[in-house]
Amino acid sequence: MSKRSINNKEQKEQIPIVFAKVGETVTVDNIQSGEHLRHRLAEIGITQGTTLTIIRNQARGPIVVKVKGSNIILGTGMSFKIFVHNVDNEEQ
Amino acid sequence: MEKEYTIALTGNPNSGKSTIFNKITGIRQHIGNYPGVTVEKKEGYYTYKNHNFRFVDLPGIYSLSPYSVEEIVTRDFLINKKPDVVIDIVDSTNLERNLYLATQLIQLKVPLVLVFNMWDMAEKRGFLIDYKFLSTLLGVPIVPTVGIIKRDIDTLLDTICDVVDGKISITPTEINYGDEIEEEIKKLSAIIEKIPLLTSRCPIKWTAIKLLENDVQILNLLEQDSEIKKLLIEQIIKSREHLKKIFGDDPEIAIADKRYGFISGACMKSVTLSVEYRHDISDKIDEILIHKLFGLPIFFLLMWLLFQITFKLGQYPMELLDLGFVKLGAFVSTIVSNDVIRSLLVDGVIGGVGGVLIFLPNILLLFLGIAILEDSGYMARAAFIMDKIMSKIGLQGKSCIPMLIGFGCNIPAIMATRTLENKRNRIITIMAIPFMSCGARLPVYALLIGTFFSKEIAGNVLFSIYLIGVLMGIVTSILFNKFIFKGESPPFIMELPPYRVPTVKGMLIHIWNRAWMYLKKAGTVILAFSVGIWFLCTFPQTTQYSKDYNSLIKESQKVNDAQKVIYYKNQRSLEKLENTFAGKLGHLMIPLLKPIGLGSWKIGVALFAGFSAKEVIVATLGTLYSIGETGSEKEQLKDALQRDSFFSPLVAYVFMIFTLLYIPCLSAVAVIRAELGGWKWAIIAVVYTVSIAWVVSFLTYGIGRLFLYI
Repeated sequence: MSKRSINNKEQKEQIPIVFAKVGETVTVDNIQSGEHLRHRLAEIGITQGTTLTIIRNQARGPIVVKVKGSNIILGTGMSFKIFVHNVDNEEQ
Repeated sequence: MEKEYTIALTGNPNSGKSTIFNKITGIRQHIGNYPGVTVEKKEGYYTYKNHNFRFVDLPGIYSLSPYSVEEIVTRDFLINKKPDVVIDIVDSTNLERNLYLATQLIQLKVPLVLVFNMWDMAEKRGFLIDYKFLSTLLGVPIVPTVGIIKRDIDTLLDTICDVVDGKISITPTEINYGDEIEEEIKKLSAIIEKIPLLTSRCPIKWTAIKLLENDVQILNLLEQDSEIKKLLIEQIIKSREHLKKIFGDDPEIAIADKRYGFISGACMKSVTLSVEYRHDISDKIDEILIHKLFGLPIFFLLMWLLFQITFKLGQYPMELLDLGFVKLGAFVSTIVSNDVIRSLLVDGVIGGVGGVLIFLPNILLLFLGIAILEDSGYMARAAFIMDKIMSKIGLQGKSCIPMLIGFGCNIPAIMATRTLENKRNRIITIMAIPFMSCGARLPVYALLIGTFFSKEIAGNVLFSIYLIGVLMGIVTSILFNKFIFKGESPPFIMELPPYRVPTVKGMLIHIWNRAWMYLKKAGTVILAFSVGIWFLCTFPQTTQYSKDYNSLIKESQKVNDAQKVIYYKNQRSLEKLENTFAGKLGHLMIPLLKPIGLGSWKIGVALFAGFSAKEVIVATLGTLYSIGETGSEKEQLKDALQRDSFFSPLVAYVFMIFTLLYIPCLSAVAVIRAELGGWKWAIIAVVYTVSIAWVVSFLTYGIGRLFLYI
């Protein structure tokens, strides 16, 4: 039980999605942006708690994530605004 | 006259919507623009089992929010035009995402029919969809189809007939948003109910939800400062605040979440996955095409191919067309004796029609290439690859393609901005394209560089001209982003569609529509302009010359002095031109051209004539310096320019810069007008490019003189 709580603490470490590696599955913790972008993302299926997989990550450029069955490009700049934590850790 | 039913086609991008539209209507299509916006309006007609249908292909969208023009256009069409049936084309392989739009259509309570397209693909991927059960859950009919199979299309048409005949009743289900949100919906509904203007428009619950989502466009309909409006706004703020506290986020995000929740609930009950589908071919292709290292070279290779196909392959039909028009002009010249009418026909009309048609091979080939890139799914990859670079100047990845095309010809480049979804990006890209030095400007550079610069530095001089163009394109993007379109640029979110093999029919329809649009919308304006320029360069006609050229020419002919004959003939044309409106305009322009070192009426006339097409500048200079423009006469023109003490390498360089930067040609202006739906942006483009040309020329001339005279 105690071990798990430590793990929980670790996985809560939030990173901007730009630092996530290709192939990683991550969960969205929060999106630090204006209302407009948050709504657009919500409509494409990305909100707090959404699990997505990183398909492509061009360093500091745009990224491609797989969410709800399709690959979505998130333009340059957005990858600094979306904070995620790694899900793979959780399973271990 | 029998009743005509309006059928609206909606759906996500890449759901196969256009394929179905093309399959039903064939080439019986009509393309226009929605009033005031740049979104394409596609309509087609089809009669099936004694029913006359008008199909409207609405733009591909993901939602009915007010964020993009496409979404607003679709929404306004559905609400205001009240189509008899609304078809929502859904990609069966991706139900969860595609049904998001459907939930909103269900809520709008339109007569909805869902088409589950690409059914075969879904089966292949192991999806077992109990569409009949899903249909009862959603309360709307569902037709599974494979977009290119005629039998499926007939089933769809039968269903549409049944709906309009009242044989199928559609009772869209209510979506429950959970107690907290439903509570606020009720509060808002209570106020909306009292406003007939709103209740007659669309379902009360729909309006309430949109208001909760802070989608308040509809409030503009209400009278300013009316009591009820104040009451409504007050309630919106109160409800939103309340929900914000509960969900810890904006209500629109909670509502989007609930919609997805509803969809996954419905899918869970009706979709089962028989086998896990693992080998996604698209992902495999992407591993190469958008590879970190290979992606960019592959993109440039494809762009190079597109360029070669468009301009190298297009060259042959263009030359043929050109030759045809020259022959036609010569032929007309021989049969028309009246000078003015002959000139009108040959220089004005035939020249004008030729000027319109000459671009057609380029446009057809370019759009064939673009159709392949777009329909195959590569365009989205190109947008991804170029996004990082283009975002540095405030644009998005996709803007890159039209800009590159601009180096060949600005006309198809401006038309290619149609692939940009966002209007702001489209306008900025269109404003930057004229600075990409097109092929028509090359003859001017060739003449001036060949005359005033040594062979050793010619290449560098030419390169610097192109570079200045690119720099001004970048400056334009930055300026427009900073001062014209303030605020953050719209976020770039886009689906990376699976790769598909484009259909021949789809491409042909695409190209045909594009060519037709160009001829109809831009062609007429181009023709009118060239007749206008012809008029200014022809009238008023000179009756009295300073010398009696006719007898001088006759005398020279008698003594067989061919050179003198040409000399007098040219001298006569020069005098004739100086007396026309264009010539007078050239003189009037001197004060404006002097500060930039181009204060000569001849340059004024050449620049004015260059407005019809930049290569005309060379021909006009030929006339102005009393020399023809073909063959060995080109060498003579170089000599003549060199002899003119007005010209220096610096003046020639400034002249090139001005030629590069001022409005590309009237065809480009006509196309900008056609693409951006009105004269406003066309005029802005003219004023802007001329101003930039002047400023940069002024600076170049000033700095150049500083270096020369120190």
